[in-house]
Parts: sequence; structure tokens; C-alpha cells
Amino acid sequence: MLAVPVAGAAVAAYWLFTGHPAWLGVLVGGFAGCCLALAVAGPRASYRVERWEVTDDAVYTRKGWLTHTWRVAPMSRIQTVDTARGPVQRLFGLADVTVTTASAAGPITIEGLDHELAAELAARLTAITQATPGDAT
Amino acid sequence: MSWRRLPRRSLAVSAVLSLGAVVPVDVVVVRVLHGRDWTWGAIAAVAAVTAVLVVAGVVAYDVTRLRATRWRLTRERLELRSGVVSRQHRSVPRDRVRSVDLRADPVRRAFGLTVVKIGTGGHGDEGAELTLDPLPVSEAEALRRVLLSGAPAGAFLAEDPVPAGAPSREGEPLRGGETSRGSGPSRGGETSRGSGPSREDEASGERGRSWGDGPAGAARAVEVVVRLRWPWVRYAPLTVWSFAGAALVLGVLYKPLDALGVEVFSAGTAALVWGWLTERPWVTIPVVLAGNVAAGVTGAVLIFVESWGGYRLEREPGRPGAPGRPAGPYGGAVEPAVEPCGRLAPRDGRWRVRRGLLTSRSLTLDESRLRGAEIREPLLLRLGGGARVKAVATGLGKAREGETEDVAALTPPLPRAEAARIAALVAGGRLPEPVPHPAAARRRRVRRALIVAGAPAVALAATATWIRNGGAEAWVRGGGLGAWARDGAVRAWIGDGTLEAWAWGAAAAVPLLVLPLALLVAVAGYRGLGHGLGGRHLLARSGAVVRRTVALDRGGIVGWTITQSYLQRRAGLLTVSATTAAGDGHYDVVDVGGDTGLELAARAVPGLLDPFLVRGGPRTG
Repeated sequence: MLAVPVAGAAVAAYWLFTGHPAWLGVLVGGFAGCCLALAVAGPRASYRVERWEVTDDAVYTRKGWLTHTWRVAPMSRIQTVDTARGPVQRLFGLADVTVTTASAAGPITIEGLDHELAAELAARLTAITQATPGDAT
Repeated sequence: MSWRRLPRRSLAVSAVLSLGAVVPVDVVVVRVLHGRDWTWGAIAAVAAVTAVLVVAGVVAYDVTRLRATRWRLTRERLELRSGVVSRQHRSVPRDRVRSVDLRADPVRRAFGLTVVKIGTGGHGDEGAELTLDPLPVSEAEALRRVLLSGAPAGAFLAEDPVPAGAPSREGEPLRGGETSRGSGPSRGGETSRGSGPSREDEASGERGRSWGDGPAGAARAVEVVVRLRWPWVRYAPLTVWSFAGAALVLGVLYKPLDALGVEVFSAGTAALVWGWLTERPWVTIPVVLAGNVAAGVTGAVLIFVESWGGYRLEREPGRPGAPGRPAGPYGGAVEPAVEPCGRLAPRDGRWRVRRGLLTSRSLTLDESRLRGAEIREPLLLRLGGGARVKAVATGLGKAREGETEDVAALTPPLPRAEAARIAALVAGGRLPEPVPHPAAARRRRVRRALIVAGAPAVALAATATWIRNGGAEAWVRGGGLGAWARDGAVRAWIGDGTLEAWAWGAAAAVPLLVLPLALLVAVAGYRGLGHGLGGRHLLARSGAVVRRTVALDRGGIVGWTITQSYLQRRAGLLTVSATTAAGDGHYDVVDVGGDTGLELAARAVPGLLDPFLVRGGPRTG
């Protein structure tokens, strides 16, 4: 997401503020190339590895390319359910769902869901959570 | 329900405490005026006036603070209004109260007062605690009982003396603000009673009978689980601070000494010290080091004595009628029945840590908020065969900025076997034996040690080669070192090969020094790894320098995070992290074998992980 502006800024800075030495040009060009490659490949890679699943008992996510992370939170221990949509996400009709448990270890986030699905999921999670009392604190 | 005020005796306390601020202020005043050739009489007068102004200012502030502070306990909530500049009204449901912390420094103790902090859970810095500064000891003690016993606020509500206005037979224990009996000289009954540890004990027992939680308060005995044994003081110096402490103190002292005009580090003294040091280094340097260690050890012992003197860990049984476990198992070595997995067994007692020779501290934890226990063995303490026990509890604040002591600490450093016994009692069941982790975990650690030792060697060797091939010379000639290179000495070193020889020497010596150390840490780290599953607990042990053994109540686990880095994947290992509301928020089983780890997580909380698990490996879709 940030890769394109960063690459653009690097190239612009090179163009405007330096005397165009060749070695710096190669360096900046390489950096910009890496950024663009990341911008193209990153979302695909994360789309390939990221998975989520919600059963009646638990919320489950998987993410990470080099380091895989699986997270599970039982329904009975969920405290809050949030949905969030940034400006870019609104452009593409997406939303994040964040599920918080009582632990300080951090919430579970399901990123980039279709926003209607996200709203529906949040409603479902809220309903299930309300039906199960207690949060084990 | 009417609002209570804080006792006015607090003014006397703040007046006494403000004397501490008077001393440095007066010292500065004297120094400045003396420098201007004032007569001693005038200086004394000015110093006296400043002192009075400081004390008056502090007391005036405290008056406004006391006037602004009100609290009350209703059937459902504890409410506190406070704040001189910005007014606050905080209201906490009583069933959110997880811990009560009483703390009285010597001055407050002399006046029979104590500071009460009520932990209410939550992770925020601000919202986690309610502070009543101060309350009379007896009132604080009663509040502690009422809040944590979960009983109706019987004494506080029923015997509320404010409307009646008549003193109860104990003196006037409950009428915080209205007990305007002046300060110090006319101390009431509870004041004198609160002064000594043994008498305080008596007093609290008596309180329990008179206006604690009714007949039950007296009927059930408090069980002392462990008391301080003075031989334990031998573990006190086993910290890094014993070696770094003295130098640190010198650094801290430097500032005030400097303000007083004592120039410790002036050029003259520095030269003197340096001359003394270099004259006979084989004598002086050991002397200085020994002095440092001696000072550090003395400091550590003194701190131990102050903070753990009178230490006692006790368990107060739960309220009658509640389905609690009988007190028996906690005293003996009887193992409690195996609980149905994933469910919290009812535990309704309270654990209380009391300690402090000068400043007395008392922390009470609601047993139902305990999620296990942690045994901590820092390197030096571990080598000395000692350990400490911490509580894993929800609603215990993290140590705040500037607070050195751990709020969750349950014991001083003590023998490991004793630590294990106490941890098992606190956790509420025998702890399982840890199972070692696969050899791949050791290989990982050894490989990491080799890299740590090898990388500087490779870098130094590369530098040496670069120097030999004339790279350094060309670089210096090109102005690479700036002003340094003009000196000529650097060039000479490069020219005659001295620098190259040094680089090669370092390349050989660094790994020789670092490698054994790194390997020791690696092996210790592997040997520290372990996990286990008991009837009630998940046990996780890890740490090379500080070894932490955590027994986490399986019912307190609120989720799993399983991570596997690229290298772990190749080694067939993964890290299973149990998330919980208590303590650090998550406790990790590090570098456990893939299948073992998932099986462990699946068995620790049945039904949670199973739908996502393909036996034989994590599900990929």
C-alpha cells in the first residue's frame, strides 16, 4: 500500500535534489523496483496465505508468509467485535473485522473482507457472543 | 449512603513528609546566602522562613486535596470523587475488584494510616486502580475484607456511624473525615494498635470479629502458608545489581553532590584517582572491584531486609456456604481432584502477602482471579539454587514507571523446592513435570550461538583482508578518515602491517571469547525449555538467562496463537502461545515439536483447536 508512494518519493528526491550521480541512480532505481515488485506481489502473496474461518465455537485466522501465525479465540471469550473501513478500503468495498478477547496479547484481525460479508460476520459474532456469558477475566 | 472523607491526620503526615523537601531547599538557601556574605543569624532566619513556607504550602495543598476527596461504598459500587485541579468521579462495580493493596511508610504507620490501592482489572494505566490515600489502618483493613470477601458490605453499610453520630464502641473506626480528633498527640485506639506487626495482626483479627464479615470472620482461621526464614537472605545478593549497584549509586549520588558543590569528578580528583589506580594496578583494581561488590552486596541485603522483613504469605478461606475447596489441601500435600478440563474450579479464598520492615505492604488477591503461578529463576539466583514465585492473576497492574518492585511477587528469593511447593499451592494443584523439547530446538540454539560468535570473526577477517589488499590505504589516502589521517600515525600503522595484525588477532580472539559463552547460553536455553499438561494446568518453561516456569490454569486460556517461522518450519518446530487475561497476556511454549505442540494445545483446551486440526500437521486451508 505504501510501496508506490515511497518509490515515487525516492525517485522524485533523486531527480530534484541530487546531481544525478550514476551509482545513486542505480541504487534508487533498484529500490523503486523492489518497492513496485512488493506492491504487486505482496497482496497476492498475502491473499494466498491468509485464511479465516468462523465456526459456532471459535474464530480462527492464519496469516504470514515467512512466519506462519495461526490464531484461535473461542466464542465464549470474545469481548468486542469491531469492523473498520479505511478510505481506500471503501473504494474497493472492503472492511476489516477485529475480534478482541480479554487477553493483552492483542486482538485477532480478519483483514480485507467484502464489506457486506464483514457486517454480516460482525452481526453473527455479536449474536453468538451475547449468547455465551462470561469472558474469563 | 453518605460520602466519607479521608482522615485529617493525613495533614500531619504530609507535614512530616514535607520536611524531606525542606532539607535540600534549605541547603541551597544556605549555600547561596553564605556565598553573599550574609551573617549566620540572617541566614538562619531566611532558612527558617523558607522551611515554614514549604511545609505550609504542602499542608495547604493537602487540605484542598482532602476537601476534594470523598468516597463511599454502596451495595454495588465503590465510588471515589477526587482531584484538586480536574475533578474526577470514579465508580467501580464491587465485583470488579480483584486486589487490595495496603501500603504504609514509617511516617504513616506512626500515625496509624495506610494507603489503599484497589485494583480493578483492565489494562489501562489510569483506569486500573483506585487509590485512597490514606485511610486509618482499621478502616482499610475492614474495607479490604468487605471488598474481597464478596459479602454484603455489612459493617460498612449497616454500622455506618455518620447519621447516628455516636462513636462505636471501638472508638470511631469508621468515621473517616468526621474523626477530626486532631493529629499525632491524641491518637485513638486504632492508631496505637496498628503500630507493630504482631499487634496489627491481633487488631485485624479483632476487627474481623467486630465488624468484618460477621461471625464467619472470626470462625475461620487464616492459614499461614509460608513465613520469612532469615537464612533466605543468602539469596538476596544473587542479582546483577550486586555487581552494578555500587557504580550506579555513585552515578545517582553525583547529581545532588554536584548541587552541593562537592565536585567529585573534577580534573584534580580524577587525576588523583587515575594516578592511584595506575601506580599499582594489580593491587588497586581488585580493591576497587571488591569494594564495588561489597557495597552492592550490602545494598542488596539491606533492601532484602527492608522489603521482606516480616514477610508472610497467607490464605484466607472463602466465605461460608460458597462451594469452595476445603482448606486442608493447601496445608498438606494432598492433590486436589482433577478438574473437568477447560472449566475453572470454584476457588473463593484470598491470598495475602504481607511484608516490609519499615514500610509495611500488604497485597490481597482474590483467589478466583488467580490463573496460575510463575516460578522465576534469574541466572545468578538459579546458580545459587534459588527461585521466586509470582502470581499470574487478572487485574494486577503492571509495575508502573519508577516502581522497581514487582506487584505480583508472592515470595522473596527462596530455595527452589520451597518455591515449587508454594507455586503448586497458589496454582491450586500439583504441577506437572516438564517434558523436554526435541533435539532440533537445541540445534537451533547452538546454530544461533555459532552465528553470534562467527559473524564478528568473519567481519574482522574480511577487514583484515581488505587492509592487506591495500583497500584501507587507498581509502585513507582518499581522505576517508578526515582529520585523523593527516596525523600520519594511522597511515604508519597501516603501512607496517600493525593494523592488519590486530584485525587478524581480533578475528581469532573474539570467537574464542564469545563462543563458549554463547554455547553455554544456548545449552542453558535448551535445557530450560519444557512443557507439561496437568489435571489443571498447562506448564510452560523457557528462558536461558531468566528461566520462567509458568503454570497456567487451563480454564484461564482464552485462545491460542501458534507461530512458525521459516527456520522453525524447516526444523519441524513451532511456538504455541496460550493467550489469557492474566499476567503477561500470553505464555509461550517455545520451540516445541510440531505435532506435540498442536496436540498439547488441543488437549489443554478440548474442543477449541480440534475443528481446525488435521492430525499430523496444521491444516493448510
